[in-house]
Amino acid sequence: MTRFTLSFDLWMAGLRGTLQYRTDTFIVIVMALAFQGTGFAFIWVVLSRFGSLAGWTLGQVAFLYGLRLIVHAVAGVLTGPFFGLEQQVRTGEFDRYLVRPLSPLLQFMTQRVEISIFGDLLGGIAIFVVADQLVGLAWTPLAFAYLVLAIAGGALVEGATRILIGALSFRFLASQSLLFLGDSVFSTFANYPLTIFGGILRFLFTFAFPLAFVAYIPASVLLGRTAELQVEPLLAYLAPVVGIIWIAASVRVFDRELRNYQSAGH
Amino acid sequence: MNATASRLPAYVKLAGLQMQVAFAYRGQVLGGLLVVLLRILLLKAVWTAAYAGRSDADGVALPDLITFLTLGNLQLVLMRPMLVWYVQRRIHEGLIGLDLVRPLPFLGQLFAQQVGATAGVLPFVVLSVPFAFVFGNLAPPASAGAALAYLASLLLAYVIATLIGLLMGLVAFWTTQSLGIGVIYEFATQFFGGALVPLYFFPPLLRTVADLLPFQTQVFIPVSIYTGAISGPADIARALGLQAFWIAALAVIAWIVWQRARRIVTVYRG
Repeated sequence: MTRFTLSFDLWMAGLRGTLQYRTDTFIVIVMALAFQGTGFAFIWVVLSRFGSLAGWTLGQVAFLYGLRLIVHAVAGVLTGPFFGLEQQVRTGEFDRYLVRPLSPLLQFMTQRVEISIFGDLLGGIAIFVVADQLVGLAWTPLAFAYLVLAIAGGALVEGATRILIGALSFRFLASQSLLFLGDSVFSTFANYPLTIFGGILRFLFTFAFPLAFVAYIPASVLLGRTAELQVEPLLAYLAPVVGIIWIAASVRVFDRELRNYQSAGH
Repeated sequence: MNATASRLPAYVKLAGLQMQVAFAYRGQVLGGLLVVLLRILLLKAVWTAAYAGRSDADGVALPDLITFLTLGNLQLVLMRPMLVWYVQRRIHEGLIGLDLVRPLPFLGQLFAQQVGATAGVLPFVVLSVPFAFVFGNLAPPASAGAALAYLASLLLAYVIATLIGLLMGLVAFWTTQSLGIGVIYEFATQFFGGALVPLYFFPPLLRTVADLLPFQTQVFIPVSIYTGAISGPADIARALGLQAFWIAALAVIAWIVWQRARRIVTVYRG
């Protein structure tokens, strides 16, 4: 329990620290909105001209897109600082997490808050709410509970990926370019119906790397489109569990890789 | 003119330094190109699904559309405005003073560095062409004349991108917050330039907005000339004329802004 309250206090302190830079905060949020807004404007223009995408209507694609944005924002709550990990390992700044009585990973993830998550969350919720009106889902308590679990599960998969890539920093002193690439892979393939990318990528993103579980499978379940999935309907309902498996594995890998940390030698 | 000629070796030297920067940070350059290739892959997948087996939409065949988007996104890599990041960094680190006392006009230095940075990235872009062909599609230009006109239009587009980059860089003299503006600019160019959706597929209102902005001169106009969508001497001349107009307008604005920025620096020194 202390671990939780300590982490929370650290996170709040990080947030207060970042918010001191008001212009920064504002511009970063606008930046996040511009990034996600461009992607959505693209899909909106295409669909308003062509009607549907592999059988998905504009409302359904927007539902998936908004869901992925919300997942992305939640994943960033704790994994935003990973973009700065390589720098902290190179300069030896990471030392300080090793001498305090809390898991280094938790300390590292709570030291600073990536403000762009608020832009993503704002954009995601806006798109999701409008999409929900368009598709007119009948929300049962069960469906809502599944939504919440799916968001948590998806955020764990995306966060776990950042932890895995970030763990490379200890051995190779570099991870930032790969982190950006990893984020691009998610925003390229997770925001759209996976069926449009052809069989091989679909198979890989379902069975080799669980990108499909981030938003595509949960959205298919909620929209009643499970027939097109490559997995059994039962597995689709268990999508949130995939996140738990991935985060557990990634934390173990991170702790193992941490042993390779050599500090900066000063 | 003579003064510029005698400074040429110095400009070449500056450009050469920036070229080396691109090679030194080749990991980042390659990472950036991979992101562009992913975008091309995404565009092909989305547009193929949208066409849903149709041979053409509004007279545009799918392979031609993919060629348009592939080329548009590749050439945007060459037009990435490094001046935004450069000027901001020099101001942050206080090195801007050093730049200003060099015996070369500051704006000239900046142009030389942008050209050098582009020259450094060019080999990587050339390397990525085969991958772009696989991920997206590429076809030869509509004709030899189209190829020539495309090169002229690309050059004008490059000048426009550099001028906008310069303007955004100069913003750093006031706010030191030009980084975010640079990123927002990149998305605006992608969308309103036509690198995601060619402008002829825009709804009417959005099309009007895009027509009034300078971004279409960076992607839509040059690539349309390449594919032959803009052809015939009169249409090509009109397209190049529009680009020339934007160069003149942006140059005047950049000059005015620079005169003001310069005065601020004098105040700080005093």
